[in-house]
Amino acid sequence: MALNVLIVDDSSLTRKRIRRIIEMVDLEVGRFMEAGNGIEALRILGESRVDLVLADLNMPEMGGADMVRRMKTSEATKSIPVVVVSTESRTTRIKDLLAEGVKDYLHKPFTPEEFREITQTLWSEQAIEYGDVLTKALSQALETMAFLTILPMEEDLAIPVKTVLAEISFTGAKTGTIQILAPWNFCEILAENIGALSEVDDKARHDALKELANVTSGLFLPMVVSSTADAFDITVPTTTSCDNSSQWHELVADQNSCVLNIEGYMVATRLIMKD
Amino acid sequence: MKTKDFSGIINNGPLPSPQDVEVPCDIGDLLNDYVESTESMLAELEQAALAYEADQGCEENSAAVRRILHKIKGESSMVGIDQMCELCHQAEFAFEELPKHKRPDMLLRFKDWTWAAMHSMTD
Repeated sequence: MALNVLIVDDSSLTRKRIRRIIEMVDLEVGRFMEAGNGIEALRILGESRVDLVLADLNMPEMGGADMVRRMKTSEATKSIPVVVVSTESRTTRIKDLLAEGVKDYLHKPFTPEEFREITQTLWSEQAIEYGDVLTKALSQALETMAFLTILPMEEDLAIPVKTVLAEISFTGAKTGTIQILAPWNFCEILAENIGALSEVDDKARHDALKELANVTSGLFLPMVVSSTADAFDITVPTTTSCDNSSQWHELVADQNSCVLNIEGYMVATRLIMKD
Repeated sequence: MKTKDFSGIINNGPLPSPQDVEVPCDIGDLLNDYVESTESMLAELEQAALAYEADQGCEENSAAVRRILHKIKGESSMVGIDQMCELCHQAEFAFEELPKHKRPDMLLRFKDWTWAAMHSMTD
């Protein structure tokens, strides 16, 4: 996905130079946006999708630190990563900024390599945060509806061959899809736990995973996408089966997926967000 | 890039020649932008220094001086003109350390030296 980058600096020369440094890095940029101070930046943030903010500290009207504080008070902007680009060298000041939510710091001048390193760290952190949230959502859903236990991952766990994939889409403040991929025998346990069935057929397996997808969405959406699940319309979950491990490998290859060990069964979740 | 000693800005001591400021060979079209921006800020600095002299200790003029020196330092740093960056750093230090009545002269000397350096770069 191409990133939209907002450069905030009162010097047009510095904005131009930063833009050129970014262009030297192998980073797919959709749009460059520029602001001369924090007020202009907040206006742009309110009107456009921004994925990364690079901001100076000392600017007229509103500096970078105040801008970050204002961003943190808004649901729409609080999670947008901000990297401060400044000649500031006092470590206490930098520590304060990091404590206030600034993601990282680049000292002027910086090299394309330094910028690349920061963006790599940022995106890997985001992936970890996403994974953590997915894990939490799935864990809560399982504990709530199926009384199943989440265990630490073990190296010798078998990659599922026969799998069921449940998908549930949501639209509203954000649009996307949640996928849960579970082994066939795990769905059987799930169906037994949910329905107290003595014999589980294929339909029961699929229905059990659909129910898991449903409750996971209800818990997941308020946690990361909006403060309330009521702000979303959720589709009826659908399921598909697979007799080889291709479904598993395809899903877990995505950076926005996470894998859990649920009582010895590997279950994967993926979040697909649409622009 | 050779290191130059700009500590003379604080005690009215000698400064390196403005003709010797080194410009990175890959600066390209940014040089014109840099010179134009710096000259504009030097004009502002001169006004701020004169206003400061007329009304010593005025916080508004002090803030303007700090902002301009910081901005020239930042732009010099971004385009890789390290000697200008060092001079600004020394000037920022001098502005804080010098007695108030000596600050305007230091700022005007900084302005004259930098102006000469800008002309040298574009010749």
